[in-house]
Amino acid sequence: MKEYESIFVLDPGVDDAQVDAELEKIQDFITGRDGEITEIQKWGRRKLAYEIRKKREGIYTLIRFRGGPSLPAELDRRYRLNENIMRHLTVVYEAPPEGERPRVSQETQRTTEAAPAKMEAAPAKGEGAPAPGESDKKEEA
Amino acid sequence: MARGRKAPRVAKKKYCKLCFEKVTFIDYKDERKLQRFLTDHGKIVPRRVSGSCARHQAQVTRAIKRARILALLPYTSDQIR
Repeated sequence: MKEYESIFVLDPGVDDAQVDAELEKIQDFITGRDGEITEIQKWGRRKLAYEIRKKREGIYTLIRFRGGPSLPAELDRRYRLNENIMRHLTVVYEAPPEGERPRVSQETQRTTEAAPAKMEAAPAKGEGAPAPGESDKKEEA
Repeated sequence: MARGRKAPRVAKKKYCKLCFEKVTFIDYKDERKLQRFLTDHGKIVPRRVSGSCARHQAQVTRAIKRARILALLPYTSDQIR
């Protein structure tokens, strides 16, 4: 089984409860096909680099999972059928080398179990999202 | 023709900045770090300009293309048009 990393971008018109519902559906889809979810990151609302469907914003969610070789293709199909999903990408997970902090480290939810506890924090992340990146920048300087 | 030319400009030797920084992993999710490999118009800076080595250029290019799919990075700048 390979480990994959999948990100999907929801339409900004979707409300928070529905975001969680969509995420849950995707999770169930993966686990229902013998996949094992290893990490979930809610990036929340983020500015898009270009307009999609006349929108300038999207709700980003990352799922990391282990699964069989056909799972990414099935997931892809699943994404396409969902009209709320504006963009999606599934790639083979490449672990960053030791010591390198992942991009959205602080607000990351490591396990599925931890996800509900953090749900309240997620909406605020629209503004909070750039913060981890900014701290990255300072380290560079 | 070459005879009449002015003194050639001495170019500073280019080097791969990523090799210099010993970067081994380029994350497509880290659009801030990728930004420096884009021109102001959002194009990928070619190796002949940036001086990147083949390996790093390939990694950067792949990361940028992935980031573009997710609208983390632009395909082109909005200002022009």
